[in-house]
Amino acid sequence: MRSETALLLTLGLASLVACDRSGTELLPQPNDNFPSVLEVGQLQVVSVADLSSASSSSCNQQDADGAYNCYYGDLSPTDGVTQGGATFEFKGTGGKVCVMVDPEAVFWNQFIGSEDAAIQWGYPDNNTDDGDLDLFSGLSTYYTGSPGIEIGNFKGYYTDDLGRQIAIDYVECFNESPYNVGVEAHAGRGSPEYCTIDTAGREGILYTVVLSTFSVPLDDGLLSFGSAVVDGKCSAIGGGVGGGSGIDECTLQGEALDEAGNTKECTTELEQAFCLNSTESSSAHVLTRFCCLHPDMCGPSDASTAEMCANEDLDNFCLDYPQLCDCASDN
Amino acid sequence: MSSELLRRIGWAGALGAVVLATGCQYQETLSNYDLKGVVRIPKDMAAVTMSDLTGESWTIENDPRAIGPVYLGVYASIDDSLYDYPHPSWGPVLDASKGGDTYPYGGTSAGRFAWGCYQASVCKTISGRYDNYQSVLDFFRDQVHQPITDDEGNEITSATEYQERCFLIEKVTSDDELDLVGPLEFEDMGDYFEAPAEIMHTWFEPGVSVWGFADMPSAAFTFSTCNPSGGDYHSYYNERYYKGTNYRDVLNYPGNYIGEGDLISAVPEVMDSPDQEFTLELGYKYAL
Repeated sequence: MRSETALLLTLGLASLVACDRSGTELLPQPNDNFPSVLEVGQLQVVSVADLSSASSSSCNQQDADGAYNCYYGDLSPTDGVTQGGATFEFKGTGGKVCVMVDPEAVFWNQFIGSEDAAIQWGYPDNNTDDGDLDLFSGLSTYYTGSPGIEIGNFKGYYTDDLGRQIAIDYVECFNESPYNVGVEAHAGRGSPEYCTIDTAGREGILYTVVLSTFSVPLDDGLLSFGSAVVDGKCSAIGGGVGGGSGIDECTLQGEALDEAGNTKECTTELEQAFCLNSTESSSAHVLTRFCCLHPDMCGPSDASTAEMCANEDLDNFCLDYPQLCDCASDN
Repeated sequence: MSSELLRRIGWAGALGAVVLATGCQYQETLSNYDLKGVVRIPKDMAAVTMSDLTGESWTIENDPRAIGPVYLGVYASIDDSLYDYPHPSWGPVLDASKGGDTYPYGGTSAGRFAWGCYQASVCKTISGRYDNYQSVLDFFRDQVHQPITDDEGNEITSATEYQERCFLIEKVTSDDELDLVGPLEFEDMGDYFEAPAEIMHTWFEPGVSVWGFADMPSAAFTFSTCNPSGGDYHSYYNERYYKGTNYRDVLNYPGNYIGEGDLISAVPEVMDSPDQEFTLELGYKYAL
């Protein structure tokens, strides 16, 4: 009997050891210098031509009414209990407009497999620099949140003739992403999200856009993003660098910001390398070569990446891709 | 291990079993019920006027095989002001081109689009209308004047050949596995065709209205509630097309699908109890 009691006590004590770990080290800590709930204000509906010059330096310019041309900003994580995010508004044009957000730089799944594709996407991503914002939008009259104080939604209630309450989602933004074009879904970490909103009959009517924080980068605890509202439907907007079609990682560039609001060094080139890697020949290995030359921008280096880089033509990278070279040659 | 310890473990196990068993008495008290009743169509209303490209017209009379899917919904209320016929009340109109959602409490159909194994039958054959393959062939040849043809355009004349094609394409070995043929839903009740209906697992509040309509065929034997680009995809050598199915929001926006010749319940059945059996008569024929 005594030995059984001792065994039970030992097991009880052993189970308590597991309580020693909270997992909070996996969560970024709030940064007091930045809000976790941000109200940006109003954004102008800009033309596609204006969008091509969007960057951290050209955006955040206000017109006479105080409306931004586009907006780049930073968000702090919340205390883990409340929902964080940013909101901004725009006025309906009477036609279709495209709302877009691109958080942080880029994320890719490291390809593990055979043949050339393994090298094209084989270099690991830096998983600690990715954040994720989910895009929602609808008429401001339906928005339940308090801008700058509390993130809300667009849910309303209809009571039928028998008194049953029916929840209605008044969201008018049906998300797409470069990875699920035509499919209504949120994109995931580091990836742009966008939607076309038909504002027919609502010219001058205010819409609210909610960028809901889903995850914040672990490396600096700041979730930076670029956002814009463009005249016309999203499918009419061409891709960025690399000639890809539709909105992609290079439509808004340089949205990975430091605390001063400046684009982090080399992140624009990383985005461009990512986009070119998608559109160039798979044998060009643009991203892998970029990462070999600039390992700090990508995932952890190890024996496999060293072997990968040893087989790459790095000497001619600047000749092949001069636009990526300034950054690469710094290192 | 001592017998005393074993006895204590036994008592603990028994106590645990008693505690767990108390969970089985939990009642969810959901207000969901299976509503049962019949749907009834006056025979004279079920007559369908057909025509072909030559301008010849004829009437299919006294034949329940011409009855399209009958959609039955349970709604909060019925509004006479929305259309030329009684129609379920709308919720907020979020899209002016669609009207308001009726937010049904539940619904079902008597008969549904059941692919007839050839492209010529997409959106034309309904379950519960044919009890054998010859009946399908006869109806489309003699009544509709559109004989069932294979995907090369050759008329199918043999019921056995038709059955073999369906078994081959649908990968089944018995008629029971197919929706196309089986027990007939509508029974000849003298002045009416009548079919049993069960609206399963519907939310119930006293005062709900059972309302419905029959999607009757056009003069070319097409149905407005069928989406020919929907449903399962048929892929067999060079045969590649959708098998067709109903649009998914027919019960939410019935007014968008009701057209010339469709039969509508002029008087909804108001239900005070889920045990009440409804008799829904589709006694109004919509004419533009």
